[in-house]
Amino acid sequence: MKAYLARRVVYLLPVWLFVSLLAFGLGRLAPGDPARDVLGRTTGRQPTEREVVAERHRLGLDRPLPVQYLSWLSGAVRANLGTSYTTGEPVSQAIGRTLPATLQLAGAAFLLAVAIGLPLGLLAAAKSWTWIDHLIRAAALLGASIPAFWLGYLLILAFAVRTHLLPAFGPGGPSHLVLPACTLALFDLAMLARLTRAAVLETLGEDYIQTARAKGLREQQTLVRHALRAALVPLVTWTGMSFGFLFGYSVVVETVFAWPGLGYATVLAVQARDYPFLQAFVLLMGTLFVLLNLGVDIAYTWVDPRLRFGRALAAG
Amino acid sequence: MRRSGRLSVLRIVAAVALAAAACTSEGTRQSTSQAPAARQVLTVAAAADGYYENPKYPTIGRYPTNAGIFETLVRMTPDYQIAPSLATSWQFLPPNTWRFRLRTGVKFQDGTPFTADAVRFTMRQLAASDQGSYIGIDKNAKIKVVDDATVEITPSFPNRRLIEQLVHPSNSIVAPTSTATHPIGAGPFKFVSYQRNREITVQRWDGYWGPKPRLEQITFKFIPDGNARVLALQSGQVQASFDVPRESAAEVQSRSGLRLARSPVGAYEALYFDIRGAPGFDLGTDPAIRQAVALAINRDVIVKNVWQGNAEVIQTMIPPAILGPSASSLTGFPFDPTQAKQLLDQAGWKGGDGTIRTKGSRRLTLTMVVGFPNADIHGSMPEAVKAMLADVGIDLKVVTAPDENTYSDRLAKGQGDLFAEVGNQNDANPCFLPDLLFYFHGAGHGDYGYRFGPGAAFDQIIDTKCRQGVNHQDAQQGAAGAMHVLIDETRTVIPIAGILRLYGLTDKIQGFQANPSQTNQDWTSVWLAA
Repeated sequence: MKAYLARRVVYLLPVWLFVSLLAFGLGRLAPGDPARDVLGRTTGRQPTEREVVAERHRLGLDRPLPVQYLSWLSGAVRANLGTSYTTGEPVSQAIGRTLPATLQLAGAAFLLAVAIGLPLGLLAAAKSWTWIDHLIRAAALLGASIPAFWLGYLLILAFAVRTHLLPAFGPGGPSHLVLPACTLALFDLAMLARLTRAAVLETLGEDYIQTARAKGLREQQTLVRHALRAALVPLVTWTGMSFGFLFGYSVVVETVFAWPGLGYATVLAVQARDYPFLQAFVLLMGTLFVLLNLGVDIAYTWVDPRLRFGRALAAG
Repeated sequence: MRRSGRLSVLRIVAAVALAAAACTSEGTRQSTSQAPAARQVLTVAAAADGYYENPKYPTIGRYPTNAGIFETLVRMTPDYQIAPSLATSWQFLPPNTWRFRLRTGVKFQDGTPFTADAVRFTMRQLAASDQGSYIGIDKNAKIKVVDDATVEITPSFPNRRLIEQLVHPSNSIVAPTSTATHPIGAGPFKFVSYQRNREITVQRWDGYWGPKPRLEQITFKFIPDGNARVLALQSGQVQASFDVPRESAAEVQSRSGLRLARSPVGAYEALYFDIRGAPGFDLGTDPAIRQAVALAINRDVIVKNVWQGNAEVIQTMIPPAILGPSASSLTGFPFDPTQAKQLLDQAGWKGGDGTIRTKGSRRLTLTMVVGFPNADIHGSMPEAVKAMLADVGIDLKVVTAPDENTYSDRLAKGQGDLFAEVGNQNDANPCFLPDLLFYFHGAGHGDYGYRFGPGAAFDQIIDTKCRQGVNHQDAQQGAAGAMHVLIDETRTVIPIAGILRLYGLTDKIQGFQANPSQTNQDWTSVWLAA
């Protein structure tokens, strides 16, 4: 296991290099001029061409592309990710400021999706082809189809405007997290319910399930201890990756709810062609997905002992 | 689910529905009391943050959301005139020096006195940041402290319009102790706190030299989405909202407990014709086509249906008020599709009776690029114009740029015949936008001036009346003259609408005067009723 983990950590390096090159290149492929954008925002007017040329020089954008990339990379390895064109602050500070808000939102949405999606999927499998199953599947289809921004507006209208039960926007106490987390969670919740149902239904047909029932185990115990446990492998894959995808979906939710997180900051960075911020963001996302993959791999060995013993047998 | 569980759910749903009905009827009672509220604390939903905190370009508290922390030497009134502020009088000393007599007895919010030294400090900061180079405040400018209450500013190039340009919040006077993250000015409100992309909070400053604000505190919450701002207003979480989307204006106006405040025209929507287009985008070089397009657009319909009455038909591409009496010299153009068809017929474009015109093998197809400052703000204007132009036999291809950067890139490369923009006037210089956007001489290949500048006749007016005009009236006449060339004579610019600023307010807000320039919106006269 240690050797396996060590190998995976070493693999991170070429992944980082590739991702950094991708981030650098993709940003510069997009049309537009960040120098013009910075000046427009800071002066409140369209800049003159002379000002744009001076600003390009100040930002180092008139240097050859390989020089720009190597300059950024050499800073990045020393944890200096440059200065954000959008805000004028160090990129590391900008990410440090916004990441906790997105982690809070994505974490809450993730927990909600798992806490509700998993039991719903299990229930649908247990009551397959009854009206309960049909209702859950229909609700899951609806949940997976509703656009996040539309749902967000609906929830604000229902719970903030009409009933004043919850706040309409912005961070604050726990009540401020409810609507944005629910909006963000819905798609994952719906997909998890459907996946759980499908995975559990597949295992319910296995012989060991018949054995468990024949032994006299209650249906609930059969479902949870045997069927769900065996169905966890695909679910672990989905839930692991979905946490990463939640970061992406958070863009829309953060904009609707004025949630000052990484998603919204990234939207601004894309619009402003904020290369330093975007490069750092892509690097961060690449790292996140690699670590999530690693976490999923480790979780597999816990969920499916055959993977552990399989390796031991192969080694021994 | 067992039966008792189902009943519990139904009871909860019913309770929520009843609460919703009760809250809907109660939550928006109109305030009839005029007594002031005990707590004068206001929360405003502003648009996206946009502050820049780099020490060289500090904008926190001043632009785009002006939080009232700073003041300028001179200020702009809602009708675009110049009025004293931190300077009580000013004088132009030929050939190129402005002398300002400063207001005495004024203190900054840190208690230090406002003197000519602070003006020099501010101008040097502007010069070092390059932010002032456009108005001639750069390293070659001269700032002379005559005495504590007198300062002379000599821009690096002849600039008779400096006095009008100094009203912009980016030229605010800062205390020498002010930092990018803790701004200190001489305005009516002092800085309390700022959280990026969340809010900025300011408090009444009792040492302010002018009329004391009645509000104790204002918090500007940054909510980038227009619909979300309206929902925040309706939920009661904020009491005022900037930039109500036009689609929500009627809803805000009709809702009990809320009202809509409209300013005079403060922004404009216009189409710019590329008159030096590259092959494939060179139809704008033909004056007959430009004229026909102008005549074919029914601006009353666009103002009524696209802007839903929250705009006016104007004959300029800047707010008419800034031109003063000179605005009447602009003739504009009527809606006359019959004449448009005749012009195209005479120019050799055949067809037009339900078909797209052709000349030889070329179709009369124009490309309109939409995306400044964003595509959403134009709403369905492109589709409306497309239909109107089709009536006279012109095919309009609409290209929507996903953001301002993409739009600017297409403009720089000349990849369009028409470019649709919404612009703002945030300083008192009538010549600001015509000079900035359409001055041709010396313009680089991708510049606005190159693409849209009419050329010698226009430049001559800018050079003389605008840049060298002795007083504000000269500048107004110059701007009107330049617009006349741009709009009436060459049809390079086709004004579509003069846009009203829309502010959503609760009925408790009193004393609010909607300013057409949002960056100059004043909060000192605002108070909350009980």
